[in-house]
Amino acid sequence: MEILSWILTIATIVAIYSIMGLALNVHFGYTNLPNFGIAGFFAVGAYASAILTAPHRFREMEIFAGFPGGVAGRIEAPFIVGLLAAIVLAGVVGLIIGIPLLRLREDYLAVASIGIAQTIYYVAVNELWLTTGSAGIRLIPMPTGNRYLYFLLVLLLLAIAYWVVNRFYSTPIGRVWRGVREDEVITASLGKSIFRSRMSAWIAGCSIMGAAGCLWAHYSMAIQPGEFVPTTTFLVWIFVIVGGLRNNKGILLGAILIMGFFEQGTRFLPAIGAPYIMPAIRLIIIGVLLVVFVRFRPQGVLPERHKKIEAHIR
Amino acid sequence: MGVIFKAEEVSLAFGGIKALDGFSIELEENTITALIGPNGAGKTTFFNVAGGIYPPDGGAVYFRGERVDGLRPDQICMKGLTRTFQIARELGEMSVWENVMLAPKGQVGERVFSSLLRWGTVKKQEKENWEKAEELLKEMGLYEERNELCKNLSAGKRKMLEICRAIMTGPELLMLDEPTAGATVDETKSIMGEIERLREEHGLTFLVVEHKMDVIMNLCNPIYVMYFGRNLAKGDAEAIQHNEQVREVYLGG
Amino acid sequence: MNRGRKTRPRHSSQDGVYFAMEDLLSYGLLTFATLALPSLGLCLAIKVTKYFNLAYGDIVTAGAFLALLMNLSFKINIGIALLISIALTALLGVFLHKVVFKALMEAKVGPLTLLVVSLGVGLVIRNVVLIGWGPQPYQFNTPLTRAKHLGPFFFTPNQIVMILICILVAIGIFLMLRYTQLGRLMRATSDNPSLSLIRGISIEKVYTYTWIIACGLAAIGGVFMGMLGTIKPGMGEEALVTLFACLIVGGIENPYGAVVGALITAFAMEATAIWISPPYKVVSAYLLMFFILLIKPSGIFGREKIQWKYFLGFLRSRQ
Repeated sequence: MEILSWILTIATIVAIYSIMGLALNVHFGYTNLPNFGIAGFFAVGAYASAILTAPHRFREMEIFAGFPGGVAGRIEAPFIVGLLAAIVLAGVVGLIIGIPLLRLREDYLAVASIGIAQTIYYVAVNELWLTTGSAGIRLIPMPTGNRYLYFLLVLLLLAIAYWVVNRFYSTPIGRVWRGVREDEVITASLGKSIFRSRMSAWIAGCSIMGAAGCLWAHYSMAIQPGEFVPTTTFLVWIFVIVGGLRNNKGILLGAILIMGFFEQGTRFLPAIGAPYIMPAIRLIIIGVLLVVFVRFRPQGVLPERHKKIEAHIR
Repeated sequence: MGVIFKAEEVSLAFGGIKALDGFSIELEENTITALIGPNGAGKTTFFNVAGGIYPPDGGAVYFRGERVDGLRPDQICMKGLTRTFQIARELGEMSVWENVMLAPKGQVGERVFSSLLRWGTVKKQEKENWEKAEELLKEMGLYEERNELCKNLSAGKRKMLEICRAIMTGPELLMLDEPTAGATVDETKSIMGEIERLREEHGLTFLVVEHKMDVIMNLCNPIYVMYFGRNLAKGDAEAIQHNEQVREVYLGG
Repeated sequence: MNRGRKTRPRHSSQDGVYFAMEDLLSYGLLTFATLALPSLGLCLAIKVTKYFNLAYGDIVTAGAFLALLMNLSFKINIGIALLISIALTALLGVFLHKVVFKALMEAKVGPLTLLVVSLGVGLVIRNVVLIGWGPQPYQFNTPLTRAKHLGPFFFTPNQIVMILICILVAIGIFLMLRYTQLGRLMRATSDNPSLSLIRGISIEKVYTYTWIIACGLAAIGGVFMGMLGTIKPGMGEEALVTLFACLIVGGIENPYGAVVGALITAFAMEATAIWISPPYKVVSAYLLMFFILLIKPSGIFGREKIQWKYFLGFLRSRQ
């Protein structure tokens, strides 16, 4: 039973991270928007859903403990409302942030998006009325009540996300996005608005990240700002690059290899020395792996596959 | 037959150097007009102004009586004016068919929700667009390479692909910047044939920048000559060949 | 930049304005002293190598911890520890360049790829430091001194020395860029790397010296941050985006701009801490960065005009 529960934990986390990886593929793989603020959108989704669905009991406990009761726990909405709110809110935040950011050259966009994620982190730490600060929100309900069923729910949403992202690739919108990635000037002179195309890719990706955040909140049942630090972002980047940027199967593979075997799989090995040593060693190895991959196999384990027209038209 | 495109006294300076200095041009509908001039005369700059990449410092550009200078490239293309680039710029990591299918206007699947929800319409449009593209690619001799990646094409083929892409946008006016540069003799012939065919069958208007004099002289009428961002001469092939000023600056006297 | 002064004295409201201004001047200048040199170093690195190195924040951390090692473990005076740390951090920078970045730059990968790689390098440095010292914050062992009023300022002697070092080193770097052979080579390489190659300048040498200077400056910045607050493995990562904010405010490849940008950013941060909310001071640096990116992406010294239209740019059709 122990081992089964262990596998289940890892599988759920891998599935949730895979959703973020797919969203990063929409941003960076398809449209060349290097989003280094994944943790920020993840946080927006997680907090949106957590605040809406936290039970009244949580607010009462907060007040009982002497805190001013915040927004969390006032509404006690069902899971589906939380999920939709997470998707919509992450998209709206993406829209607002995208207006200044999407004009920038890629490397500026990368740095600015780190700043965005940090800003969201500071808001989560400091706006007590909204997020209850660094203590976080607890008692978030798991909609299925049971971790096995919840894993199936996460798998279902992963399948939907995979389908959506694949569908984007093979429909005209994916062509426009990839056109923007290859050469903005040409794509613009073929009548496609660069800003609108970038924005649609940006919002679509951000919304998917928001959905992943919602799933995370309901899985861990308690969220804290400390979970939404840049390391989260970097992990997604690393498994996407290792697995194969621009290839959705590669991203799933990367998530299983890096997140499953490495980051999560070794979590339950006996600790060596102080408790922080093992995670640090893991991150060092992951960092080295990133450098090695970019140097020797920049396209990842599975490179981009181009569909033949015959298969497309069929 | 009316004037489809008109530029009046267009000027543009880059850091004090006047790339365009009061250049004017008028294109009659359903003609093939040539724009020639020595290197650095400002032909490509004029294309960039007309295509919306740079807004001009002065003057005005009209397309079908509507002022278009200062619009963005995509807005200008949507009005029916498509241009190509001198150095064939290809979307390298995309296959030939994807390049061509990127171009058609009004694709429903270019919107996020339609792409996910309106299966039938998207599929139907893709089929229709591919039928057009298939025909075009066959005529231009690119059909065999339809599943190749663009970065693997030869320079001449890239040029052809660029023209295919421009045609697929369904333009009324097509501005081609050196369409036969880097093309072999056979390719040049097929490009020229295609231009003439499109003019005759579909009533398209062309503005062509070209260095190959035989191409220009056979295909185009009228011919505009440009020199240091200004108009130098205008006329048919005969007149241009006998114009003293043009011979001096361009034809090497 | 978290320097743990939760005990900042709160002044009463009637004399609040005067004292707040005094606070702003003193803390602003101190924050400037921590930011100016690393932002100058990062600026030089970007100017010459043409990519954003996200490991730079962690190089700052490494500088602080190397000084800490000398100061606490080997009981060396903080001044000498600083010098040793500068040398060791410069060595680290050259090592990273030779082992990781050199080959990639020769393979002509894009600036974005180098940025992603530098992320991995930063992750490694940060976690090596974490293994070595653990997550808890440290402080340097410096002689205790009392703060004194100096005109409108309120500093300890240590802090005065820091500010002086910062200004002198910055001036030294400017003179070096302007008048020495190395400075000329750095500018030439920055303007046109391929031309420098043709002229027979050894680009590799210029890169090496640039990294020595950039990482030396990072070490000074790291030690100063540690002097004013605490030293912990995440300090450089926190500072990184602030450093980029300084650079972008001043113009990303402009060394003078980097220092002026650090001054503006430092005062904006401290003003936020005093009048709005201390936790949001870093956010104010980011917001300043976004604002500049919106209206004048080349920084306040850039040649282009302020583009207010960018605010509504996405609605515009005519330019």
